[in-house]
Amino acid sequence: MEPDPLVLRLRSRDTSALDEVYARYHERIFRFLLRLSGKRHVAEDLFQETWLAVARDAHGIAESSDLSAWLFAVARNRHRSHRRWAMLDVTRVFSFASESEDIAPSPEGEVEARAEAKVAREAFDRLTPAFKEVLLLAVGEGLDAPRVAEVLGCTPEAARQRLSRARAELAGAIEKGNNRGSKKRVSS
Amino acid sequence: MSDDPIAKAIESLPDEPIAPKLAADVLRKARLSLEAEKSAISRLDHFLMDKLMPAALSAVVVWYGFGLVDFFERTYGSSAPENRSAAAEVEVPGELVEHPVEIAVVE
Repeated sequence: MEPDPLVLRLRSRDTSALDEVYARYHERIFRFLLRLSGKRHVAEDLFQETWLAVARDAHGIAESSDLSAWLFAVARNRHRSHRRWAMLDVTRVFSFASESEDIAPSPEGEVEARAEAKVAREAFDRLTPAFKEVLLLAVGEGLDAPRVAEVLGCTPEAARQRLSRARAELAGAIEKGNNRGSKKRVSS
Repeated sequence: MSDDPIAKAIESLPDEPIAPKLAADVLRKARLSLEAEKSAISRLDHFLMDKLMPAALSAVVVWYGFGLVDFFERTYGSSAPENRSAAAEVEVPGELVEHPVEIAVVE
């Protein structure tokens, strides 16, 4: 496989290459971190850490690497590191547990948000981080199985299996949420 | 929008764009960091940490391994007889030695 010229330029610490990579990927990386962490200020911190790590480790990226997979892997590692520290920090345990509830409402307001979307969000929040990661990468960012596997550090087959289990888990949680919602509506 | 309920669920997740000011600030910091990485001191640091340090550690591990083998040889190997087969033939008085026993069959 021909190495990506952008990767080669990034390896040689070309700042214009960094600009190009940033312009192409910064929105996707932020969205990934925001959805993964569920907290805007955490996503912003991790976003900054991710790009500083990209600049610091740019010389170490393998020539054959897929750039998007490498960037998402850096972002994912930042998030994993954050989670580990949050679990060690007793004072942050409670805020960490409720991270997903702290997302600022969209400009239209939570009132106008559709019930289905709300159920889906709640169901997604209940998933394990491993399932969230694979769903966001494969479904949210449209990465194929080999790229997802590269980000997660597993085989493509393992990534496919994890995605399948994550989809089943999310579908079950959505269905459960919908049933609960319809029961509420009937009783009221 | 997709018909896939899972894709719909993912699409419904928050997708607020990053603040332009923050985005510009992060890019500026990343560029500064990349520029710093280009400096001679930084390159030397990378050479020391990425190349020289692992090589030195590997050399120490190998040297220590040889030393350990040498130590065991000196400690436990020195008292062993030079010629094991010759030593085995020497009959030590009082040591139980098996001799073939002839059994007479009585009719």
